[in-house]
Order: sequence, then C-alpha cells, then structure tokens
Amino acid sequence: MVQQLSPVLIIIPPSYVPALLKLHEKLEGKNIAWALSGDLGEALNGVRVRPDCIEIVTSKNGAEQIQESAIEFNPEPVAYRVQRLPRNALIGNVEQPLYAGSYYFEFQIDGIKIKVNGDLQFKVNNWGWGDEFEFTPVWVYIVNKKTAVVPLHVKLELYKNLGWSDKVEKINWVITNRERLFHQRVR
Amino acid sequence: MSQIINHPSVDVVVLGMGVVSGTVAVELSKAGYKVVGLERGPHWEFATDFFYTKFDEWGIGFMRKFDISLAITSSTLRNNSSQFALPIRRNTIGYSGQIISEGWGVGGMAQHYGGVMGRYGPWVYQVYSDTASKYGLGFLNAAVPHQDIIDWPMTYDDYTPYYEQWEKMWGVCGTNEGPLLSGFENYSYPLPPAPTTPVGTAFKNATEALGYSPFPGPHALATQSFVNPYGVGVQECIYEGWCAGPCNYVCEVGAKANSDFRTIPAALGTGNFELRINSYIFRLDTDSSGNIIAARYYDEQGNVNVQPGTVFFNGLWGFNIVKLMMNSGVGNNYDPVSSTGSLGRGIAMGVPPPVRTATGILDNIGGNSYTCGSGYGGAYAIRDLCDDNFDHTGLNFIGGAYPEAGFYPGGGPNNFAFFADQPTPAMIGSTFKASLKNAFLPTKTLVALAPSGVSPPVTDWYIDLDPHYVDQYGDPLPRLTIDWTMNEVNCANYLAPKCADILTKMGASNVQVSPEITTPVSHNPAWQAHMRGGARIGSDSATSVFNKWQQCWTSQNLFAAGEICKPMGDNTTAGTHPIGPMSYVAAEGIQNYLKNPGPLV
Repeated sequence: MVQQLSPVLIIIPPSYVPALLKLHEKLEGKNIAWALSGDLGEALNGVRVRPDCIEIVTSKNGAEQIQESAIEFNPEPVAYRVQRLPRNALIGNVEQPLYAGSYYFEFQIDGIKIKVNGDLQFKVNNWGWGDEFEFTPVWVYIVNKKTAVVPLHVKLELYKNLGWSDKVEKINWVITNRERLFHQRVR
Repeated sequence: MSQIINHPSVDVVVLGMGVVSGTVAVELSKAGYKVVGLERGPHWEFATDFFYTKFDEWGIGFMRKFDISLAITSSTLRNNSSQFALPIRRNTIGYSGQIISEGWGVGGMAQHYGGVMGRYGPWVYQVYSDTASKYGLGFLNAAVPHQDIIDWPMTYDDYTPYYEQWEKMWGVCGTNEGPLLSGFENYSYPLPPAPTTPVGTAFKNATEALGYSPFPGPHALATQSFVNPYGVGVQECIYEGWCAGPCNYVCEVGAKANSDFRTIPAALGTGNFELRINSYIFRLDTDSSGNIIAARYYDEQGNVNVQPGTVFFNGLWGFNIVKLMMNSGVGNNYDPVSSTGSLGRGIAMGVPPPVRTATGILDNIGGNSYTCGSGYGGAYAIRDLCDDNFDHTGLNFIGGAYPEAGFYPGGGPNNFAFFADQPTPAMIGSTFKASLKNAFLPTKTLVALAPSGVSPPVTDWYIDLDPHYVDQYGDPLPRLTIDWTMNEVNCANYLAPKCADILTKMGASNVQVSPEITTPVSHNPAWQAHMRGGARIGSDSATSVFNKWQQCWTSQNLFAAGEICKPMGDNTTAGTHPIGPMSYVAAEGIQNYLKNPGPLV
C-alpha cells in the first residue's frame, strides 16, 4: 500500500462525517461560536492522527446552547469540571500533573463520542490556571458545511508549553512542509 | 526470464485508476468486497513528485512528462475511411496548443485537467427523442446527415441524485447553474465559487443586461479546505493560477480534484482494496458464455500476470476501453458499411474546435493575466445559448454553445498560446511575444468567446483496430476515423454574432467576428481529451455496448464508465463532470450484480 505523505492531504474516519453533519444541522442558525479541537481538529489540519472522539471548544454559554440544541442525543447536563488529564506535562524535564477545567458535557451521535468544553483552561500541578483558550479559527468545509477548527499554531504553542515533543514534531512537520509549498510558489 | 504469475481471485478487478475507477474502488471496498485496482503508470506522490517540477512549463506543458510515453502506446487517426491513418507521435500539437494525451498513473488524466465542471442539461440525455418529437425526425436528419444519435438510458432527473453524490465527493465549487437547469432548488454545490475576476464580472453584468441568466462557472479546484463524505480532504488552492490553460499542470496541494486525493485514499483505508501500479493491462480472458474470467497485465519486469475476479470494471482512459475489448474479442465490433455492431460506434468530439470566434479587447478592466487566480475558477457562464434552450425552428443545427468568460488561465507560454485569439506562428521567440502584446497586458485584456457547437455521433465516425500499427507489446492500436460535422460549423456561424453582442455589451473595443464558415474546411490533426462514444451506454444492445447500469450487454460481469461511454454530450462542461454520476451508477450496478448475478435490465 502506498502511503500519501502530503502535508495537505486530510484523512479522518469516514464515520465522523455524517456525525459532524448532524451536529451542524442542530447548531445551524443559532449563533454559537464553536470549533473542533483535539485530535480531530489536528487531523482536519493535515496532521496524521486518528481521533477517537469529536472535541469541541466553545464558551460557557456556548456549551449550554449546544447542550440544549443536542437534546435529542440525550446529552449530560453541563457542569464545571476539573479533570486530571491522562498525560502529564513535561516542564524542565520534570513530569507534572496536568489539569483541564471547563464547563463540560458529553453526548454521542451515531456511536461517536462528542466532548464539549466551555471556557477551557489548563493548569499544571498546583500552579494558576492559564488563559482561556482563545484563537481565530481556520475553516474547513465538512462536505458543504463551513466548520471552525482550532489552528495548528495554537496547538503547537500549547504542546510546546506542555513539553509534548512528539506532538510538536508532528505539527511542525505539517507546518514546515506547507511553508515549503508556499515558498516554492514565489520563486 | 519473464513468467506467468497467477493471482488469487477477488470480487472486483478495477482496470485503470483514474476518475471513475476511484469511485468504484471506494464504493465496493467500503461495502466489504475485495477489490484490486490495476494501473499501468506510477502512483505519483503529488507533494514530492510534483513539488519540484511544478514550474517546468516546457517539460510538463509541451513535452507532457506526466503523460504516458507514446512509444508505449498511442492511436492512429484519419478523417475518413478512405485515408491511411497515421499514428499520433506527439502529445501536443505545438502551434495550436491542442492537447492530446492520456492519463498515466494513479489519478489518471485528471491529474492535470482544468477542473471545469458543470452538469449536462436534460436535453443531452434525450437528444434523439426530444428533437424528433419537437422538430421532427426530418429536421434532425437534415441538421446531422448520417446521424447515429441515441438517447441515454436514463434521464437527467434519474441522474440528479448521482450528480449530487458526485459533487459532494469531488468538491465542486459554485452556486447553481441558473434557472435553466433544475435540480438546485434545495441544493447548491458544496464549495463556494472562486472570487469572480473583473472579466467575469463584466460578462455577468453584460449577459444580465441582455436578458440571459449568468452564474459562476462551476469548477473542481477547491476554494476552501474540504473533507468529502469519505473523510478525505485537502487544503484549498494556494497557487492562484499556474494550473489551467490547456490543462497542463498537476496540483501538488490536491486542490484540483482527482481520484488520487478524493477516493483512492479512502479505498485504501478500508483494508479491502489493493492498488497495483505499473500494471499494463492487455487482455481480458472470457469463458464460453462471454463473461470475463481474468484480466492479464504485464508488470514492470515483463511478467504476464493473471488476475481472476467475479466482476471487472473497465475504467481505462478513453478509447483504451474499446482497444482492450476489441483485442480481447469482447463485444460486437461496429461495421461502418452496414452500420451494425456497437463497439467502436458513435464516437464524437467532446470539445469541437472553435470554428468561428468573437473577440474583443477590454481596456483597463483590471486583473492580471500573468498571475491570475485559481485555474478555471472566477468565470461566469450562461446556459441560455446551449442545448435546446432557444428555439431551433428554421435553424440548421442541434444544440448550442456555452459562453463563459473570466476564468483565470494561469501563467506559462503554452497557456498564452491557448488564449491568444489566433494560432501563433511560433511558440517561442520575438514573434510569439509580439503576438501576445495586445492580449495579455493589465491594461488590455483579450476576451474570446468561441461558441463550439455540439459534435453529434454519425455513422461515418468510429473506432476500430489499426491493421498496421501496434503498441510496444504488439497489440494493434485503436484507429480513429473522425472529423467534425457541419452541425458544429452551423452552430458557430449562428452563435458567434450573439457572442459579439455580449462582448459589445461588456464594453469591449475592436469587437470582431471571424468569417462565416460554409464548409468544414479544417480537419482534426488530433483527437482530444474529451472524446465520447465508442463504448456507449444505451437501451438497445444493437446500438450500445453497455446498459443503463453500465453493464456490458454481451459480458454481464463487465462494467465500464467514462467519457467514451457517453452516447451524447454538449459543451456545458469539458466532459468530466457527467462521468462522475456514471461511476456511481456503475458502482451500484456492480453491487447489484454481486448480490444477484445476471443481466440488470
């Protein structure tokens, strides 16, 4: 099997496409600011990762509106939650526990888990909470639906700060190779 | 020493890995069937193979280094059956910018097409019956002497859901195709059109003022990052040009849709699809009932490989579909003397030469012909002058043309020649440069509207096997006997002045219409990329090779799709768009056959 190595090719599990379209259907016209994050967001930016869920970042108010809009999928209630992440941060070669705090709920569409984080913040060990997750999204059309996605440079900064070098390397590969394409253009 | 290699049988053997084959591969492998795809060329790695050679205009544009070498295989061509057919030995007819090339490698010819999209209208699917009922058979026979037109076996309405499926997968950009084409009431193309160029805007305003219904010309050069229903996607076009013109340039960012980055990655992802490159298919083995039992191909070492299967999908480029079937003794060959038989019958040109042209100069309209935008995006078009969208009573032709203006040609000397108002005497040097001076300056933009008419199938044009020339393995080349008909000439004569009216309304200066043509004075030096017919689908096995499910009448486990399977067409698209729905019909037909083997009609 020949592998495509292009930094511009996007591959996500096909079963995610109808789930995302159903999500769009529920959120359309409701003026909710939301974006795809997590591994799916990175895959939509061309990074070779296989997502195991759909992660959404939004505001507290956005989380509540999404919860209401997705009521037919029996979502959990929105609740502020601080969760220790399975992977530690690596700060100065020392592993530190990592926490995410957000107005959170989960639900499923067609068997695919959707995790919604409102006002997401991160905290390393018992240090203070970081800034809220803010960014200007990039846009990807899921078939015909314009969808906001967390940009790679935001994830890159986050992973650098957390010391997750493997993820930094993967994202850097995409960014570097795309820059080569752009530089080629102006020669 | 070469040897015979026997492979285990699979459910579906896909021959060629171009536009239509990708659809069949992904649909069948997704459904759980074991599929093998055979491709005679390489699997280009578009980010690396195309990356460093992107701007080799001479090598790619003229020398066609991403196309198959004509030393491997070619075709021969003549304009009537009394001539001696000569082989095509160059992929480009230099001075006129005409392109003759076959696909080579995964993705096929669509690795470097223009990405022009657009549906065929309802008229195309029922030209024979509609024309006969509305104007009478006498009109049709007078407009097209020796006509050999058959209706498609399905109507436009039948194809509409397949069109939608295709457009969402391929990532067609546009809005809709105006009020003259139904099917867009609650639907539009998935991606927005490219930004309109100044010329496109002028065309839109002028045609609106003249009472026409302009719309953004649909194309398949992704204007946005995009993921299709198979979970495969690409980034948006970043180059803003350098890819169109006579369809020379491949796209290393994947924005220009083809199966290599729309369907094949998804097929590979199922685990049910095996892609075999460097596999030159030369024969289909049949059993006593006429069904196919195996495909034979040469690998890189010259070994003969035998791949058995339950179903075979012939997705080879153009008339190679016919060549393979004829060399394998599959189907009933057409006899031009008695006008019987179906294989090789009904070929026509997809994009006939523009025999009469209207041109004008737009002064200081803005834009820049040298850098421009994304390939064939940015244009506006009208359907008012195509198909039977105007009354043909008293006219001497069927069909019409599809004026479109404002697309971004992109750069390169070959492109300039393509868009120059007349063939230039040389492709390089001071003469060439001088001829372009008044056409491609920011302050002076040449606009040419060339109303190419519809090329209808006639009994005189056909494909057979050449008795003199062979490919590198000793198999006869396909021989094309084809020319253009007075239908195209009469159409251009009628519509060129109307195009001049549009140019005048656009504010063009020096509007000129080339002289009226009275006889088909010029012949085709080459076949073209969008030839159709030859292995057409239809409702009658006497005049068609495949039925409405794209299933062969004589070999029930053989299916095919491609431009060469079209019974009829028009110029609302270069030709690629309508084969998408055909590929989905074939995929559905194959699944039906695998569940219940036998004739599907």
